[in-house]
Amino acid sequence: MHRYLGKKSSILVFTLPFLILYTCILVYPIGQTFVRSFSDWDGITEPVFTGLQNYRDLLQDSDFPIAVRNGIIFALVLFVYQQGMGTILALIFNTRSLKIRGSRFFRTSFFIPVMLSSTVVGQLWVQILSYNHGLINSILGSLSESLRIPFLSDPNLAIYSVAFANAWQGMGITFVFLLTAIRSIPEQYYEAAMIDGATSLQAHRKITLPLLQETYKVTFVMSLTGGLRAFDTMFVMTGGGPGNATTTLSYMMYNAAFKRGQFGYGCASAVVLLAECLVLTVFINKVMGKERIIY
Amino acid sequence: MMEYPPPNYQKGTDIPFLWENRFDTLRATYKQARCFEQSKEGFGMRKEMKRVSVIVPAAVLAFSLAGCGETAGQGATGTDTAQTAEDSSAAATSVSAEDTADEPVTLHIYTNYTDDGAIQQMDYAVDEMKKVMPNVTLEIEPAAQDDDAKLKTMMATGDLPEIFGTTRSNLDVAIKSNSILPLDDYVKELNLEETLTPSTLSYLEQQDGHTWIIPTENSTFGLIYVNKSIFEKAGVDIPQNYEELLATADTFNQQGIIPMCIWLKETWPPLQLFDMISITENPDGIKALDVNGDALPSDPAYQHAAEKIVDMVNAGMFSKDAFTMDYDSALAQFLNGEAAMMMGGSWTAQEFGEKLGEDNIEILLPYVFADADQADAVKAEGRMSGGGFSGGYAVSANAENPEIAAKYCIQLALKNIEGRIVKVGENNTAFLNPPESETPQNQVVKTLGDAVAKAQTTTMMGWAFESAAISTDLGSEVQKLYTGTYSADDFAKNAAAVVEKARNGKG
Repeated sequence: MHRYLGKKSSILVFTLPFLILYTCILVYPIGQTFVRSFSDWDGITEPVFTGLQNYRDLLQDSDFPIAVRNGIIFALVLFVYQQGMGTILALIFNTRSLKIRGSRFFRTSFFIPVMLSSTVVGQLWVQILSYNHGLINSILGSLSESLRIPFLSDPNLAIYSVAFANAWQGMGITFVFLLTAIRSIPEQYYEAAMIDGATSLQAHRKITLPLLQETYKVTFVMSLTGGLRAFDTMFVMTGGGPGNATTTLSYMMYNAAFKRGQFGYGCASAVVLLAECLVLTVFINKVMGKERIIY
Repeated sequence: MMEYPPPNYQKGTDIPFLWENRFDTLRATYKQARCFEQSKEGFGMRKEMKRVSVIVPAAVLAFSLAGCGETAGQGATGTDTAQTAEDSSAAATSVSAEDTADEPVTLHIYTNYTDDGAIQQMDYAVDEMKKVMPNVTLEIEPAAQDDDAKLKTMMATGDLPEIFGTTRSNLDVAIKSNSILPLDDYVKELNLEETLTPSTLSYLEQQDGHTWIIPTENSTFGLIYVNKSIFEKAGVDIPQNYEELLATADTFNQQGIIPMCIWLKETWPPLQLFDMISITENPDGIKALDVNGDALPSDPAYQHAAEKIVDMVNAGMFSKDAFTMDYDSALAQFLNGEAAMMMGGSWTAQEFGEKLGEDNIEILLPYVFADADQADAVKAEGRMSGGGFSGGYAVSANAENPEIAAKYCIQLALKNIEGRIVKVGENNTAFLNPPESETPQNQVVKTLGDAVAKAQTTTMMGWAFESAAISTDLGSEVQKLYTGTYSADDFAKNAAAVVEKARNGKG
């Protein structure tokens, strides 16, 4: 049986259907996007090869630096909130000495936003952050009208507000990943550390966080690339506005392809976005993959 | 050779290391022998495994790919989401090669069929068409609200239904891809000069002088609706020029009332307001900024319009939530009395009159954005924002029965306009002899009708640009003005670049 399954031909036969699907759904479209980014194409008629014209137009587009900057801000907000809050909550809910009543309820409720659709989350936060009727501004307005904050209409604040809504939605999955990873760390390490006189904080710093390296690699990539690629939350909440304050590369891609009918230009935006995500993933793997920590 | 296990072995007793090790070796040897025996028997099973290992992945692949592609006989739309307009399940099978007047024909249409007004007018039109072409059954596929993404996909794959609703901005690509049928001959055959007003007839001359799209609605206009009771309560006079309009903002803000309601999530409302302001200096408004226009956003009329928008934003004229509001939220805001004025379209005149009182609603035309010394002159010249036509029904070039499809399409489109008059009570701009409305027109609609009749110049609606690039990018530039942080000079420079790029064929 082992001899049979160990044969490369057997492996190929079993994996072939999924490889074909993967190629059709992922590899081929990415390849076609790359090829079409060098064309002037309306999505319907034959594309006309234009070389690097789309990339030149993209770099000269006044919205491009703003879109890149917004993408970076979005990614950083997601990273800080999801990793920070996810780590703190995972450590709290893993602490055996700290008995939290209803901890199972809390653990479940942190994951509920992950299961909600982006439309629901977007509309929910539009209502919470509304200047006239939102929960936060109603409380602030009851203290003083001048305390109201235009979360979604101030061009300087809008991107942070939209990013926070997205970060809030995705925090649950980071929490679950980290909690599972923390629970897989053998208790003996902590006992040994306690015997050596380490405090909880020292134990977490020297044992927990280093041993979570592999998990953090995954969650870092998820947060950062998720932030760069974000589209649905800002589409629902602000439509890329006010002005271009919440426009990212993915929104530029949508506008170019589906509103202006310039699919070639949209493909160029997609390729630049893909390159950003690839570079970031390679960088994270390089930085965090230096040495696997084993005790 | 030692027996396994040894006869004196007692389970659970402490066994010296060497004995335990020996047992592991024996255990492994035993297992190996057993496997050898099994493998001899299993040789026959290997062939069976090979067969299974081919069939199972093939079956998985087949099931995975079964969802792709069409099944035969799904018809021109290639989907199973079509709705029939009538209850009858005896819909005839699809078209045959030789069509006669009596032979039953099924046509498919992809069009807006989601909001109440659209459903009312379409149902009316289909019922009327049963009297005109009784052998034709229409199956309706409601259009997705996706900026025509699905429509363009159907064009690309050649799966367009016989009749489809489209905007002017899709015309260019539809012609280039040979997806659309010219309707000139059928229009002539139906003698529309005896039915339609000259302005509506002028809309039938489109790209290259041909008729490709038949309008499905009366001309619509951009207006400012005023809730008079809110003005009276606040002790504010209804403004008659720009300075008076600007002055209302402070008073209403102090009383917690939104001076003017507008929704900025879409690009056409800010464009429409921009048009209303710009036509006080250039009667052609945003029409002159389209791909075949002769003006640029850097011209004085548009730069002054941009400056006025920035002034209004800084004066607090609009809600701080405007960028997150859509049409329904804005409508609710005005109907709930939270806003004193609303930038809206002529199609809501009947509804506002019914819900807020026909004596309580006043209409302000673009003269209210003119400076005090020019407002009377602009009013006298009857300049209206809006008009023109933005789209309608077209016929697929691949229709199996092009003659029947074309004639049905043209008459269905005109029946849709009738439906808006009869069922919704809309003002007629299309017909020489309009039908009677089932809904008596209220005073608001009559006032609007008088204004339209006196109009000397019209422009177009903010969604009706011929160039999709200008519509998107100019709309985006105008939208930025409403942030209050985008200067009119930056707007003039960037918007002019957008329009020039589109006109040079690069956008």
